[in-house]
Amino acid sequence: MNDLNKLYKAILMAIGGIVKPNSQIVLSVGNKEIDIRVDGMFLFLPVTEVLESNDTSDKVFFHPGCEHITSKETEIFKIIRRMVGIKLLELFKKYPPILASIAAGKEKRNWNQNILNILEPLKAAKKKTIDELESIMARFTVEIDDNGIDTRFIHLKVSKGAGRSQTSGGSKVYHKTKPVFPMYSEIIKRLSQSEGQADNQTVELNGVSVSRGALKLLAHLFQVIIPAVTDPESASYESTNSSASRMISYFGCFEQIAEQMNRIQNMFRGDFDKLGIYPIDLSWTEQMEELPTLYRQVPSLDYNTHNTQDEAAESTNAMNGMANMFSVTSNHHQQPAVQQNQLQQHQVTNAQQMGMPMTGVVDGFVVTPPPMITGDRYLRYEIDPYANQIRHYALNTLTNSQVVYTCTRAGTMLQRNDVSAVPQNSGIPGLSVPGVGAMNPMMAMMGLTPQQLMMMQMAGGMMQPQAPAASSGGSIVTGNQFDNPVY
Amino acid sequence: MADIVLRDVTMGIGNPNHVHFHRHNQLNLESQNVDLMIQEVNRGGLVESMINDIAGQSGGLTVQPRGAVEIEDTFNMRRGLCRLRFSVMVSALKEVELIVLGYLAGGEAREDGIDPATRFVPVRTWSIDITSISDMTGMPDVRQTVNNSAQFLLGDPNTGKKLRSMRPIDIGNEVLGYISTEQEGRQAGYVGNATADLSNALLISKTQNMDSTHYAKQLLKIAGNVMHDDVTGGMGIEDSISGSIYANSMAEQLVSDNEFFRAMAVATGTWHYKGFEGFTLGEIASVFENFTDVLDDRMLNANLFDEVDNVAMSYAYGATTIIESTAKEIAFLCADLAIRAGLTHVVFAATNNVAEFGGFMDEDGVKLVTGEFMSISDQDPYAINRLERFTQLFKDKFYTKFNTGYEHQRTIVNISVTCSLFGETSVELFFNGDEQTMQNYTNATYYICRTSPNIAGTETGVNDAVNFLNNLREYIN
Repeated sequence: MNDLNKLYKAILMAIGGIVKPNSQIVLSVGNKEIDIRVDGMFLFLPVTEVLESNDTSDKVFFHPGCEHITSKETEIFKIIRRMVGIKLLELFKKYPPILASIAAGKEKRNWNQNILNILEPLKAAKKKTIDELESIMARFTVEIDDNGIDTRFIHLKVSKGAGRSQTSGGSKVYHKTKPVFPMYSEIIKRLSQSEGQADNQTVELNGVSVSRGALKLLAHLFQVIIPAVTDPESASYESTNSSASRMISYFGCFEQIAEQMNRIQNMFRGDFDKLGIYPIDLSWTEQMEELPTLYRQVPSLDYNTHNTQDEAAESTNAMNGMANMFSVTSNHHQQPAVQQNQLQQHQVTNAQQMGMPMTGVVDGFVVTPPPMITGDRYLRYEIDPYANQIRHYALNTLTNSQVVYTCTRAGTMLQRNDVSAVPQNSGIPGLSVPGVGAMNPMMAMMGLTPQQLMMMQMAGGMMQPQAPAASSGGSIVTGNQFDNPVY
Repeated sequence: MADIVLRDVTMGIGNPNHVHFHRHNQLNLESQNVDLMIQEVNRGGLVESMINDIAGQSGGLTVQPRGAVEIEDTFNMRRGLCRLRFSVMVSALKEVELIVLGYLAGGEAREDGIDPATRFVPVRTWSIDITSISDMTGMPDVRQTVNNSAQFLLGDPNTGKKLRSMRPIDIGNEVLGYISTEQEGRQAGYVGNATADLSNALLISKTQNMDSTHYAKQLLKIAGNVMHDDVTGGMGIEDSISGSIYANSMAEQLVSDNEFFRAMAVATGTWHYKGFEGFTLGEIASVFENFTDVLDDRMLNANLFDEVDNVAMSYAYGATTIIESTAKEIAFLCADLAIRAGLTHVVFAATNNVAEFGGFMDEDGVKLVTGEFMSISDQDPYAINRLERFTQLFKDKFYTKFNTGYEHQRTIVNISVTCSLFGETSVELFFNGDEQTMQNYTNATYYICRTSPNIAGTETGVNDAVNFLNNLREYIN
């Protein structure tokens, strides 16, 4: 195994991956192993034995170091991001119960003031509050959830560099990674809004009621476990080399967060050891600066060099199950399941862009139009204050008739009616969409009906080459001449 | 329609081969080169020499194969080959010789002839201008020049796998489509450039496209224009892309421009090539009635030639190694350069290892020794000149990216090639002067219509190239 693969392996182990004997990379969560897939293909470490094996065309390799400087986040990097998110979140969740039991136990003589300060709020907390912490943390996620609410525990935000580095002698910054803690910010916001209330008062956190005391305790835990929450800039990392720049800055930032989380483990080493919780191994980080030369040990590989995904397809990857989360799809013609999603996605975009409808709130009514099915072109809306409803008019370009989408005051869609024709698709919009989903995108693009398309295909069929009716004999032979052309 | 006459039909036979894999051209730009390009653009525009420099270093084939190539029957068989030679009269002083090469599928051949249902699947075509001139002393002479050469690109004949064409113009079109829809916020509905879908069409790709340096150069040209217009805020991006893709260097022939296809289309009424599987020999014979008179099928006889079992004698394809993709690159490059120089067969060996020649090399740091060769025209007293041209082209196109200005920094590659324009091209090579690691690969040139580096086996390749141009535009802002 060459140095590059050793480094990759060490990184993967640090973020919860396992490299199996056949070099396949899987994710380990609890006692389970989860396959990682890109476009349905398994992920492998690019060791020579695998690269030289006979069919490598149905494998994807882990080689993020070869990412091109102009690329956006590649498919492999999306996997890294999810692995890191899960690793840090799972580790963080284990801390509060342990710290609470340490605080409840006997005070040790060698504890300094710093340690006492860490444990003090936990000692004072009630059992109920500690339990509540767990239920709050259980709602932390790795990605933005389906409703678009940001419940992420941590997000390492990579941005394209600009300007000169402050720290490393003014070289050009290519990428900069800075940690963001959406849940921590939310907690602090709620706490400051409810300033002065008693600890047993409840506060709403992303739609769930929690006690103010628990939030206060959680904020404290955030601050002692990851001090960077109060000063994210201090944990940011800039890369000043144009090769492998995203990866270097990302893992530079990861290293600092992981180091902070390790630090508190090391204060209570014995207690963590007893439960089998160990620090994140960061011994590989010193090799990261060699990556700009090391990465050449393996040639540039697909899915690692450039992002291969259409940007519009990205949101379809917001998935629930963990197995789905590690099955990244890069393009939309290959997997039927995704194609369906994608179609719905662009229907929304289509409808909204064509007629350029207004969005926002007018007189207390949400005028943002509902998702429309393909072929409907948005025209205008009409507010009906008596029925407390809003009606969006659109033109059905397939039948050239007008359709009305009736919505509630809050913008929730009630039904879609065809005004001039017999109402066909009235009812719940979610149900009417799959029918259209069966149309292929090409057809939708061209605004054709299935009948028209079928006509076209038939015409095409008639233009197929046909066997000629005559031959000139000679040395061309015989047998069942033109009766059975070998098509 | 110019007057087209079938001159001869020659048939031959191939050897068993390994399964070939899709590998397409790729632009693998070093990050440092991006910075260089931006610098140049800010100074006013990319100069041609810079584009050539960067293209020479960054063109290549994908290292990872993208799926096995589907072919009629199997690769592991002796395939019938066929060459059609036509004369197209233009004027009294000028005649054009049109060659269409193809392989045979279906049907059967026996002592007494060939089944007319046998299909002729077109692979390559070129034409030679034969012009009467007078030399310096006033004596009449004939000048023969290859005036165009192209490959056909065909879809998957078996499973209908979605293959896409990746000629530079296709990438340009793809980006153009993406960007125009993006400006209206409809890029999610953009299903790609329909003309590049090989399940719908038979496309012609000029031979140069097999040279990955050429591909890189074309993409860089588009990129340069786009960057320039972005920086100066001149034309819109659609203008700068469409301006670049309709430039001459990127233009491609249409199938209907080919005299043979035009004659076939007129006679059979077939003007469109969805699901095209080749013409049957019967069809061809019905259009060119002298077919049987000029047919020479003596060489289509497995007993006449010993079988060279490439399956047993060369490495199998399918690994993700530099050595395999380089071997493939050489095979494609030779198929391009041979026709460009006007050779049908050439054997040579080359190295850039200083140590092997006592440190004394040609000025370009490459030693290339040629063996037997054959010109494209029947009687050619100037074949040696064509060989010289080939040698020079090969050094420039292939060795540029392995050589740097300094002897100690180059990657040493030793190669030995036997290239047949219509047969098998076998490449032996090893890196770093280590002969123990030598590998040899055989690429069947007569399957180029299916294996061409202008065909993307998966959509990833196309997206990759499109995103490259798109990202580059965003990167410089």
